[in-house]
Amino acid sequence: MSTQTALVRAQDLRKRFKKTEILHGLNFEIQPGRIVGLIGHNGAGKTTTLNALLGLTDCEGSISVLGKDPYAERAALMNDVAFISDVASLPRFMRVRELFDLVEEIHPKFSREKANGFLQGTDIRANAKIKNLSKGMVAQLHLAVVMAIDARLLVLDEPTLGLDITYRKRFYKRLLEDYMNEDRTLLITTHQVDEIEFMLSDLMFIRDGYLVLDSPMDEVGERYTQLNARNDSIDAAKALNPVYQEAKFGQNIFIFDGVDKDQLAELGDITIPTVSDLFVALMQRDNETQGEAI
Amino acid sequence: MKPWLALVKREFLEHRGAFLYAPAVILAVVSAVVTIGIVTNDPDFQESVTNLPGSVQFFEAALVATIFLWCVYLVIALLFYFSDAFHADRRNNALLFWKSMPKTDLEILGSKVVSGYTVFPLAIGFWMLATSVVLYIVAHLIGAMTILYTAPNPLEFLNSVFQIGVAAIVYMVIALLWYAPIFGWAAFLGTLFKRWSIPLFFVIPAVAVLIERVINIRDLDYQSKILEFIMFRVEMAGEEPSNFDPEVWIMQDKTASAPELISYALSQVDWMHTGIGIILLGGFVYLASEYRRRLIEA
Repeated sequence: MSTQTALVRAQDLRKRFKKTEILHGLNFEIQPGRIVGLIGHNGAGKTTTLNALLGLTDCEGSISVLGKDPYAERAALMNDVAFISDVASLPRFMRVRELFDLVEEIHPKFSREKANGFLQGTDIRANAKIKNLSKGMVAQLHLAVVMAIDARLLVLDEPTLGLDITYRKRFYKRLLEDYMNEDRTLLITTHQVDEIEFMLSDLMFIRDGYLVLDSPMDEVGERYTQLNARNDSIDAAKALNPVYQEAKFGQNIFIFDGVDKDQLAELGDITIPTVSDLFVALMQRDNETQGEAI
Repeated sequence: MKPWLALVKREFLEHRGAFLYAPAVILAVVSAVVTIGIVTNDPDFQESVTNLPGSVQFFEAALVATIFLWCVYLVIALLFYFSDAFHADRRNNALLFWKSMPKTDLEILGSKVVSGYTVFPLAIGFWMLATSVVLYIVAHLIGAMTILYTAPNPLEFLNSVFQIGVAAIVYMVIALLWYAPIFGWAAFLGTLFKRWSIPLFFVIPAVAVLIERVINIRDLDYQSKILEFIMFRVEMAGEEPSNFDPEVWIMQDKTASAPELISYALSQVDWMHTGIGIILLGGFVYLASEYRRRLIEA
């Protein structure tokens, strides 16, 4: 992958809160035009990574977004980067019309026409007070504001948290159909991995502050294989060092990293693991006794 | 310029309650009470009216008194505004939204200071003007009830409002500049301690005075330098509007003159301390913006 055109470049990214290190030297790049899913457990370091990338927190190592140091040049960076870190963060004292007036004056790349277009077909009215809107409507409004900004990088941190399935589906559909093009890059974190799998071009798994996977989706399919092993092949499958194994409903499921598919096909049925299966496989901690007794 | 106007407008929308609605309620209630008092012809009230020698001077004295009260209201409201506005984004969870805009934290906080020094005093100025109209109506009401008092004619009314209004603008500007470090201190505490800023606004200086006292415990003629300085900053140096005496004003043989009032006010300003205060305000706002820059959580 070329590093010349990388939109985001992080090298040895570290963040510590007092004496506890949260991010342990992350190295990654995000290329233009990609849709990247940053997936991890609660507390894995997703939001901290995004905050570093958006200039909301300082960190050790180096991070560059669109050639800028985000922490030193956050305001300038926000001309080309849009983000939703919390869908409940719109100023509640305003009316929808006042919010559009304000963003139109403040953000040089905001298009009121586009924002109005995104709100067509919703129940959101121009004179409605934001504090009176439902959670789903606030999310729709926030997304309309963000999508009406002609940004090169859009960062969404749990954008559909707390929303119902109907709205979540509509949210992602709209994002793909109305916003994404080859010039725009999307970085998204969510717990609902299955819902975004279809749209991802790149996948990053973060676990306890370490990046355990950073790969284009097509390479994930080539690299990882899921095997439903026959009963007489279980020992042979184990001998090939699976990254994950599980017995469920009478099936013996194994996930392998970089093992020859032809070799695995002799042991049972092989498939490409879904992102959620891979997530479960790679997110297992070596030591399951994390935390402390209370 | 447009983004700044938008940010100032945002501040006005968020905090208009204290500068638009509350004064409206106060003016309405006071007007109603005064009108009822006059109409019901309170004997004490009539007695006080019969002792009035001037007509325009009486109106001007009342106008100056109400303008002074509005100035006090403005300073108190601004104190609460500065202590609240610098953390309002965190309280209502909008901090991350504003951080997603291409504006630095210093610009965002700077717009709050600009609002505190422009639109909010203008809003109170509007209520001062409204009060002058109410006073004029009251003067006519009194004039209709007693032959011993004649309300100013429209030209006298306009002249008085203009002369006193212009002087009031200058006094207000001087007062707001003089109190700049106090507003800055409240804003800085608001950024750090959110809703605890108002109690701490008083507690921190009190503790400093206490420590000073303990350090100088052997000094029997102890006088707190810190307290002296605080009192110096709280009471405006030189001219003290609280020295305004309505009786003296009423008895004088001339009406208000803006040039006289303004030149007197300007001659009383301690410009060096005013300048230091403005620099302190800038320093507090800068420190608050640096704190906010490092802040993510609400």
